[in-house]
Amino acid sequence: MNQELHICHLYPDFLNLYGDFGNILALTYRAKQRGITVHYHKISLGDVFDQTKYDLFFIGGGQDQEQGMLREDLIEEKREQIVAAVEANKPFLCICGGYQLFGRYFHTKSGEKWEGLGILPVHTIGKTKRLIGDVVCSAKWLAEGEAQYLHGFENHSGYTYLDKGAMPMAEVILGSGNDDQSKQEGCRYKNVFGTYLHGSFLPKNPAMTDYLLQLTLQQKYGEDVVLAPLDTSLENYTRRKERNRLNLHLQI
Amino acid sequence: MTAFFGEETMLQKLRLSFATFCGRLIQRLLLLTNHQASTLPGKVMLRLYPGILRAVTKNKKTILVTGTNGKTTTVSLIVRILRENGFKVVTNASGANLLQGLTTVVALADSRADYFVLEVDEAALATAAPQLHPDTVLVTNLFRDQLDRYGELRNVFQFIYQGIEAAKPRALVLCGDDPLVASLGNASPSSATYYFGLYDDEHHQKFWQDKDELAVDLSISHCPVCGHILDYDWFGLSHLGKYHCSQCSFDHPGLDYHFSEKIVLEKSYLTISHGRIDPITSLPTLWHEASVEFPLQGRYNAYNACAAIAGATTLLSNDEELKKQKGLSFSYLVRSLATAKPSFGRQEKITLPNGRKICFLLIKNPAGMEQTLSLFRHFTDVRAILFAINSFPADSCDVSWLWDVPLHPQTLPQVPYYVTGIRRGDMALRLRYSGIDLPFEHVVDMDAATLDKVLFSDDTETQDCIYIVANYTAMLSLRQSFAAFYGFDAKWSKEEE
Repeated sequence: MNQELHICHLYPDFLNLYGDFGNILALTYRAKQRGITVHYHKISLGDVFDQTKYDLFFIGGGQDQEQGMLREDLIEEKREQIVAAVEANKPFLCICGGYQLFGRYFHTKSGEKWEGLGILPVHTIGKTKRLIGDVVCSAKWLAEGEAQYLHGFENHSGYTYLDKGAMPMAEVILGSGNDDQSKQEGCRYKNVFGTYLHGSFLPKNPAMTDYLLQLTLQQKYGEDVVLAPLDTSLENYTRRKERNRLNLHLQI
Repeated sequence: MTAFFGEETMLQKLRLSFATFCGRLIQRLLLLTNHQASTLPGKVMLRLYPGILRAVTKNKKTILVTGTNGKTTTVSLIVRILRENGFKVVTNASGANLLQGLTTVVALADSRADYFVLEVDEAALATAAPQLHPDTVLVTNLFRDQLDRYGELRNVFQFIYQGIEAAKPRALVLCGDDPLVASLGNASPSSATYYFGLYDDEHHQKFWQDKDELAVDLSISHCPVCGHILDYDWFGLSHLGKYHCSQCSFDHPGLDYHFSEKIVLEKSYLTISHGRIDPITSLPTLWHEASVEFPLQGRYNAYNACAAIAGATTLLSNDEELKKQKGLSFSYLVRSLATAKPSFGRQEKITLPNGRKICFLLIKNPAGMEQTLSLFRHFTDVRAILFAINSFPADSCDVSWLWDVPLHPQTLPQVPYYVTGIRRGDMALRLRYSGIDLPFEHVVDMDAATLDKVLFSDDTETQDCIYIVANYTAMLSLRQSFAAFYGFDAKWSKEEE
């Protein structure tokens, strides 16, 4: 059976600041290598949005002004469909600004409070000290051994705090993550993943790419669908070199 | 201590002499002991006399060139145009474009110089510009670059805006085709503002047409006034072109200097014009026009050439006497571009002692890489392409930007691809994920001997060239290690490095 995936990219013309398009490229490449046909769709400001047409959703980060511009469209026009997709367990990957928008609210440095989608049990507070740098964290739910480590690069002045009982995406080994204290990175709710990791995120973490693809296929074609294995030697070489560069010696 | 009416006191003169004496001494000592001498002298002089830049540039005519891409090339073209027409010019190397480096160059400059042509880092402009008394400030373009350093593009814009606002130069030369740059005119309404860009004719096209293609669209740009996505009639490159905002009154300002490119009998000609194009009728009111066979390839270099002519003409325009004396005409200025040479690391072709050829193409950000890759459409001597990517602070510590480079394998040559540099793995993945698969043996350590073995392993005699697409520190270290390995002189003119 020829499998196909429909990826929906939300606001690609506004939230496209930090190389996050690499996530779309990673999903597409690793799907195509397994003979899965990928259809890529862009949905932006003012576009009609029918979530039933899509299997996997992506939203990236952008400049403050751009994020401000689309908040109304996101919350007034797109929210209903997004919630329906989330409740249908469809996977979402939300990076940086997108992650913040999926939270409950954002408190700016100047004291304004901006409402978010309220899907992820988090809120964000804008602070002066930017959190910038390489990040390595571990997601034990993802895999054992080498593949549990998530690599990325963070650059954010928003500090995101998880509600009590909320699930982080990973535990920070190097870098900051959601804020400067918790040593936690990202947040997961159902199949919605929010994270601050650029780099770009999925190209640096093939296990995560494959996990999202597998989740998407299972939602679409049934629980017993298994993603065929695919070589990750180039990705692993890059990750190894990176850990050396960062002087990290981890349990593999 | 400043004199009451702003005149130089004896004390200030002494202080200046002392500071420059120390600066010169330190410079000589550093050079004698084979050290870099571009920043320390400036640092010391600024300490001894914080007002040194103001003092030295007071009676000089200075043009500052800033922007994301094209600063170095545009500066070198302006310098060429001025020198070919008999003017004495002082300029700074690209590596000395921050405050301390600028101070070293300016304070220790030959006092007989007619003009200072200085490249200034975008973020440094805010503090450097008001101290340098510029006659003219030129801004080439603004692209996403070094986001780990700047945070957002808007921050870079703010730095430049503040610099222009504080310096209030007599004239501003801005890229009219770049919406964000064009809006910098508001920073100093009292400055005479001139815009340069591509002439509107039917030869323009986007580099790719299909909006649904799986690629980052670098042509997307937001209105600097209201934030809406701008509509374009056509594109020159990336987000440069003829734009207007459908939601507010922001519009392309019309051009004072424009260029067009023509290929006649396999030679490429650049025509640069000085005059106003009416923004409504698109008809030009021509005053001057001249054509030249311009040796630097790529539309981005045509933009740089037009910028340089606009900058030089503007700088000279304030001195009618001088122009009359030298019998200058617009044509002379444009024709000086005929002898333009590539700047350090930019389309720099080197023939190695063993006859093999390499060519460096410096890139720093997605727009620069996109434009550089578009050159391969025209090159007929591509033997192989080597990407060299580092992530030191001067390069940007983060390589996320690689994923913002649109890569279309169908527009790139069918040649072997190699990667090297600290982030070679990330670059290899970038290529592979867009369909340019390279074998693992082509992921190479940045070591001259290893690269030599891998790149020239087929050992065929060929006139073809290995093109090296490299970011800043990767280009510097490759150049040095190749120079040592192959035995050619790594030194570039100190001014242009």
